Amino acid sequence: MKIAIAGGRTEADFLIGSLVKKKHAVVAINEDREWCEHMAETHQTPIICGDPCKEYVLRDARIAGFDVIIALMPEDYDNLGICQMARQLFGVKKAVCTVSNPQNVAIFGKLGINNVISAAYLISTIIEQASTFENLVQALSLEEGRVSIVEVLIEEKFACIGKTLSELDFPLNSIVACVIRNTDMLVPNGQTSLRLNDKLLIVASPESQNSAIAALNTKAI
Amino acid sequence: MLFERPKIAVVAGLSRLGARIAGMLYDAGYHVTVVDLDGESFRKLPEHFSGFQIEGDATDLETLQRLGLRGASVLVAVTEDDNRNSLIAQIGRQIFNVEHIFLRLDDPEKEKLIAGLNVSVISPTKLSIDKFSTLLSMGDKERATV
Repeated sequence: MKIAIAGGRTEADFLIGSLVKKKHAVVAINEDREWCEHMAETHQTPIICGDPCKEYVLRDARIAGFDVIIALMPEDYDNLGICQMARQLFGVKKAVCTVSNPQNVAIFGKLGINNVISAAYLISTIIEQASTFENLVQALSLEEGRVSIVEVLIEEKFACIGKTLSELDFPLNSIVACVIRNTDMLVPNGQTSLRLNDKLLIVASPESQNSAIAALNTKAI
Repeated sequence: MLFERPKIAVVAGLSRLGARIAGMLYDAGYHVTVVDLDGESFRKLPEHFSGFQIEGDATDLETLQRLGLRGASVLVAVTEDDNRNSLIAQIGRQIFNVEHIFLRLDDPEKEKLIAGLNVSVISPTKLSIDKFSTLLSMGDKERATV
């Protein structure tokens, strides 16, 4: 894919590296000359020095027809401007940007930019999830927080050990999508019984996530 | 008409232009609310101006709600950043549906992004160029009287 990255510092550096490694054609645009020079030395990919909010800079970067633009500027309105310019004037297929004000995820969506990432929002949800549940190894929020994937390790004290999934009382909008047992992964059905040290991946809505985990630990079923 | 509801205008960004516009709208009988990130900039308002002055970010939805953009009939986005003005105008149109929206864009190229939104663009660059070309086409005598 052809991907343009506008603005950003460390995250842009990391992204360029990871995208180039995956054989994407990457162009980075940044106003900071020193950063550009440093990037040009580190990465084998074109680096354009200029303000990505300007149409002529994007034109110099030849982003017309690109698959993705990623805007990582510190100001939310600049990211909106860049994404809209790329989409409307250069026919870039997909626009992704970060915002610092979490409310802008919804606002930008109304303005036609749908892939908006709020670091503050993501981090706070992850921290909240990580601190609320014991045994929770990892939780991932998808679709702007409408879906979460939770990883739960079955420890000795869990009441679900030896029970089949159909015996457990899972709430609506939740499912055990995968069981990781030793090094194998299996897609469970109702007859799959759970064992100690199984790792479960549960896909759930944020509302049912709590009761899904609780279902694993409820004694009277 | 004695009982006509006062018209509400919101001016975002108090550059010299914004302060003058706020004064004009106030004189025209609007209930004017001005908003700027920098409280110091309120000094630029004309002395007799007695509208609301709110220190805050006009691209922030909560700020816009607080200053009563819902119900306003005029929104003027004249901060010093084109992208900021463009976002304020788009929020004004798509979320609050303000009747009359004006925004300042220094870069005339940016106009393409808000085409079809039914907002009025004030472009200092274009206006200056127009003025310059008028002056250029005049004779020296005419020019002296402008």
